Amino acid sequence: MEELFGLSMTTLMYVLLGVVLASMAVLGVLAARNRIMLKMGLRPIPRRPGQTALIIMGVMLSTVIMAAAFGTGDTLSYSIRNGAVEWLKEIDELIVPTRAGEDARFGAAYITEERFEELLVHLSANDKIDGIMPQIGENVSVRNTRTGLSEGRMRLVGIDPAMLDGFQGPRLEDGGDARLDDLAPDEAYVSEPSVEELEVQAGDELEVFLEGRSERLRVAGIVSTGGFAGIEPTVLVPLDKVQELLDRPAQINTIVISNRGDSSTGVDLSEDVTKDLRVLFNDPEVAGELKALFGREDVLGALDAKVAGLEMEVGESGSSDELDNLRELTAELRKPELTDELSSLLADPEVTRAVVEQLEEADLDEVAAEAYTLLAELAEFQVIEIKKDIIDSSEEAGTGVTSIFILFSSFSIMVGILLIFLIFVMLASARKSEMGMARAVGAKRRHLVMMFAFEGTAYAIVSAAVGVVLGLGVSAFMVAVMNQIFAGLEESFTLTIHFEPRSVVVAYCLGMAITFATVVVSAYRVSRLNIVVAIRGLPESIIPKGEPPFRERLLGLLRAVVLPVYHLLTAFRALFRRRFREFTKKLGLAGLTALPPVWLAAIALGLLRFIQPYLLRGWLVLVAGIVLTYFGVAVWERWSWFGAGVSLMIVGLGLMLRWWLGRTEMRPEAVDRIAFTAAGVLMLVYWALPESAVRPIVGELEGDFDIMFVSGVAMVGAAVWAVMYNSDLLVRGLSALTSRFGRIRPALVTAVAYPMSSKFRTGLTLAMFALVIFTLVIMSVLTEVFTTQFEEPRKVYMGFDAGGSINFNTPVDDIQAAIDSAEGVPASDFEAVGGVTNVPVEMRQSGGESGRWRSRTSMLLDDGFLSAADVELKIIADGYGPTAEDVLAQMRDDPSLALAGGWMLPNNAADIARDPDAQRLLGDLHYDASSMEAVPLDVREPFTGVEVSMKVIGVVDRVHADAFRMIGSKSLIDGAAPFPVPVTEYRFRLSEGVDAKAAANALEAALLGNGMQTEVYRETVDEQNAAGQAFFRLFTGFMALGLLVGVAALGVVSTRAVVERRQHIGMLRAIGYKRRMIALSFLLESSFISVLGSIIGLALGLLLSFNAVTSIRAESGIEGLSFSVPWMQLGVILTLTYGFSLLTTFLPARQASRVYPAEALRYE
Amino acid sequence: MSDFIISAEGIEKTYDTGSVQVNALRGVDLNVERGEIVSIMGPSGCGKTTLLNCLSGLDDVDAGRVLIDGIVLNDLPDDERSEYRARRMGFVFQMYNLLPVLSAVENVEMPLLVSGVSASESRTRALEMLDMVGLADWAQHAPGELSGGQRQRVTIARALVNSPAIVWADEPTGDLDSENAAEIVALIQELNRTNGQTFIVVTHAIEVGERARRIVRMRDGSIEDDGHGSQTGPAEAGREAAE
Repeated sequence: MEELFGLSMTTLMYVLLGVVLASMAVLGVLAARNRIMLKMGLRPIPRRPGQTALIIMGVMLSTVIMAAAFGTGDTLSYSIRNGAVEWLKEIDELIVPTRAGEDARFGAAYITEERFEELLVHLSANDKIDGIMPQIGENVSVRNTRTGLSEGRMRLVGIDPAMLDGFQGPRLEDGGDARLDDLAPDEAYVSEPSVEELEVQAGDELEVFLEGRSERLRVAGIVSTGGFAGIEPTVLVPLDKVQELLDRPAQINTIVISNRGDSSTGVDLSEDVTKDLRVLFNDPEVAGELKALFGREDVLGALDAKVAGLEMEVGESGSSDELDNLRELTAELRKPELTDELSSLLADPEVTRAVVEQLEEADLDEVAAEAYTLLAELAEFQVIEIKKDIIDSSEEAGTGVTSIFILFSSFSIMVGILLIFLIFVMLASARKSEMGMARAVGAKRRHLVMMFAFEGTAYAIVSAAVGVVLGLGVSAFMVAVMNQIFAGLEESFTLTIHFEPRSVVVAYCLGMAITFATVVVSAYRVSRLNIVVAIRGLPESIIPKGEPPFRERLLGLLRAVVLPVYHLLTAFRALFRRRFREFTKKLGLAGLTALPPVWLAAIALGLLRFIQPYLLRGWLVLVAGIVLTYFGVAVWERWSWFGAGVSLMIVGLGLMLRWWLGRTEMRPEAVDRIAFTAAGVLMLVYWALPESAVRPIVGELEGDFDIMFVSGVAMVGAAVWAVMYNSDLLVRGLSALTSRFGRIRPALVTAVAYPMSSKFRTGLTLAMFALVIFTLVIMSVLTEVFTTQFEEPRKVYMGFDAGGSINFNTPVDDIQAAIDSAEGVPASDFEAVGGVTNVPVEMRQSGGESGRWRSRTSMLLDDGFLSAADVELKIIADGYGPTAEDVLAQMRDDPSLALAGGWMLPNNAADIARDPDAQRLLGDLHYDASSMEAVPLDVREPFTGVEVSMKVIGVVDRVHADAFRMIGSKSLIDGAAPFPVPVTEYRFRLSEGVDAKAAANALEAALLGNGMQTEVYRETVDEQNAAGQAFFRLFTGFMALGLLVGVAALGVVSTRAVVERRQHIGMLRAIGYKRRMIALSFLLESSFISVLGSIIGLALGLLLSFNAVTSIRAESGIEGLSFSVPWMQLGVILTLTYGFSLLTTFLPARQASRVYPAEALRYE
Repeated sequence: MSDFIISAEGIEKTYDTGSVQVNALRGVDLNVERGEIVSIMGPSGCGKTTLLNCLSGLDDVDAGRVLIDGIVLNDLPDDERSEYRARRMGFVFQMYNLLPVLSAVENVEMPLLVSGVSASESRTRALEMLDMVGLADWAQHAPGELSGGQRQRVTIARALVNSPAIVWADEPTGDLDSENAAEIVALIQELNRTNGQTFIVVTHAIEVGERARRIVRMRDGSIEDDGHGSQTGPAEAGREAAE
């Protein structure tokens, strides 16, 4: 994995390593100079091993989560990359013809060996290439005559044994070379995966089905996978043999290239080789014309604007492939001659697509149209960087997975940070009197900060290490689960666990840095204690909080701005007074504060202190909220920023109300209650509103996962805020409710009263619990909603129960006749059969402004399909309705009529309004439209260049699996193509009561010669649902790691409570509390927090997911999407959470119950 | 038959501090009659609080036995001893030991709730008791909002709310100024007179100790003087009230 959120992992590693090492160095110096504080800080660690273990566990949880995410990403990257190398071996690029030859047939483009020989001269001259292989690769059906087993889709590969230089030739499974030139004319090798499919062994006879006939080949041996044998079941023969079998004399369809170097290093030359090859294959005349066209001033101006736009996006110094390519292109276009660099760029489809899009954007439609024509003529061959593409995508996959895991677990990480904070706040409160005494005898605040920093760092060093190890363990577990999921899918793929040392370092340093920063912040907070209050153990609330005067705050800020200079000046003053020790100290401080992070932190702190009174009065928060709201709507156009702005505004209003009420006679508690309850409730109301309620005011905004994060934090914060400031009402209510519980009532009373009296601590724990439950509820509901929606396969697959694809080289002439005559396939099993040809085509709107052809997959239906299909149409063009049946009937009569898949269109008018200038294939038609006019299109078959006209008369509902394609009539292309277009896929509607699996198997057997491969849609849907659910559950499980944090928090709180309340426990025992009542009181207390947190999380999670489902339904237009709650799963989650929270509190509760009253009362 | 509510016979208690063993009580014998107010006095570390803890069942004894109302307290299992404390004993401590998270009335009603008295009756009796100690208007205040004297009154109300036979008070005025201390002592005397309850008061304050007619003096874990020479007055009055 190379990147994380756009940052290079290597840079990230060095930065983090630098930060951590610098912090350690500073701490080391401080420790050496303040040994007493070091001793005081580290002393409690060995003294209380139980507590130390608990703290380390709590502190490490964020690291566990991050390390697990990195480990999973690394594993995915590595597995895909490794898979690519294992699969392709020395093969680096493929060269395939872009145009059909004279005797073209459906689906393939071939060149003659003569043409290859011409190219070979040039290719051999390239010293970056060490292997060139002419090849034919096609799909055929094969049957093992000995076992009777068959495979409908097997690769038939032919290579020239004389051209194996630079490649590792095929290897026999049991070692040794598989020599193709030694094969007898009727012999072939088969690859390892064939053994499983056909139970084949050397000496077996294979029947290979070809167009209208079959041939027999004897298996000479089994070859290992990879290289020319690929990873699929493959029959490997010499090139001339496959030419003979396929009736392609002296023709090939691929040239395979190996770069200099081995299977791993060859790919490093891929970019250079591809460039050379593109230059070689380009028609210089056409390239010259393109240079002239793109070199026009207006075109260059448009491209410069695009470059400027991209620079803005990625930052001035940043880079992206697209930006680099366009920068190079504009530079090369400005040179007088046609350079090789330019020629290569012109043949790069990514580059030309970006150029043409920009031309359309800049209203240079004519230039774009001309460019299309020239680009189609530019090169005879296309170069596919097959290995590099896969390796690049492996990086993307790894980075993507890590980013998703980290984003999804951001709540858990945040909760983990809260836990660290909570732990240190509690440690501080436990040592309050000790710290007060230290301050009384002369310790400064910074000494207390140091003391905690030393202790915290000791925990951080150990816990980050433990966290990384456990995180890697978690990722290993997740990889095992993913392998299980993959094993259930048809396309199986195995992940191999792999951790990059760099990721381990980043995870460790991140864990350390987060812990360290949290410790320093909490230490700073506790260092500001009042000495008397701390020594006497009085409540902090008795100290009235004054506001430092303006002058003092301003001076503080100014001093922070010039901090290094200030220290330098004081150092020289000390030198002047001959105070050399002070001079050294101040000089050191000047050096330390001159470090940018330290300096910036000091300025930020100074600024915060300066504005603190205005923040507390609310108006500054309100202003910040207004600014954020404005930017959220007008500049960033994102729901998350808008929502964060509104939330800040509400907080600001609450604080203003509090400040205003504070000036009246009202009691402070009542003021806080009114102000914070009002703000909390208002914020909850805002976030509970569906998007549609706010959209009319702010228009269309974008939102992804970030909105879930912001809304989660805001909603949970608001709810906890409101609850904590009304805790006494809750206590009273519970007190009244529990009046009938007899003897456990006193335990209940204390169980509720204690947490409610420590608002900060309880609020924090409650928020942790609620946040995690909130996320889990949303994930569970969304899993339920999205994996159970498409249950009716017949509906999804347009009225059919099973499908079967066939090899286009061996088509079925008449499917009905084939079924009627087939043995073991009762014709009565089939109610209807439809045929489909899936072809890639290019389309553009007839007479549209843009002449740009867009590649789209098209699904062309035969009459059988059109007669039997049950299609739901979202929109029907005027004059073609009113029902879907009417539309299909007209499509049968007029082959030029077609339907657009619902996913091909923008969702609604707002999506169009967001980018009104975009050139769209179907104009301004959107999925939400209630009516439409028929849209005429030009359609072109890319290989042959055959053009036909098509008219879109309806939009297919998104409920159908095929709703992302253009759906037309097969007769349209039958009449236009220069060769027969075979049906490549059939769909079957089965009679009632027919066993779909049995019918599908019978069809496969009967139509083996045609390469029939069937699928039962019920199984497909179930398999997809199962895989989807499994992945969602994996994510949910990963996020549930956050629950451990919440549970650990309860454990920490309870353990501390036992220590803090020792005397109270003694007193309660004195007045008659039995041991079990003490234990019960502690258990009830943790139950109270976990149950209340769960209720808040559950209620808010359900509310937000309801809104999310409603909004997604409105956006996507999927009517079948309905809100449903997986109560069972939620029940399990909540019960487990509760169970674990009880378990963690059990030990402290037992410890509390064993407190001996006489001893506890003596304890001070 | 004697009317001893408390009988201690040869109680011994040793603390092991790890490096040294401290003989806190060395074979203490003590009898207390019903309705007496007994002050236990002596220098710091003489074993006053340990004696109180052992007599009240808050602590175990190493040797000897403690009889309360004829029941051998140290033979009772922990649960029964707790139950006995809840029904028959009240405690007043120097540091008040009120639960800071509960209001005054909630603190006072706690022993009743523990004894299984219904919530409404507990509340009524707790309010009555607060009224008796002069804190009817402070019932809903948290301990943090009360003065030292007021907190000690709440503690006394809590100690008496379940009408215990014995009230144990460990330095009840130790944290109070002389004026408040005098008020608390007067209150104890008043309650003893009215309700006939037995009060065992550990104190090192002479002015408090002298208000009891019987003073037990301790030194080095033993009773130096069991105060029997001066057993008249309040004890007689208490006994009469109890009858």
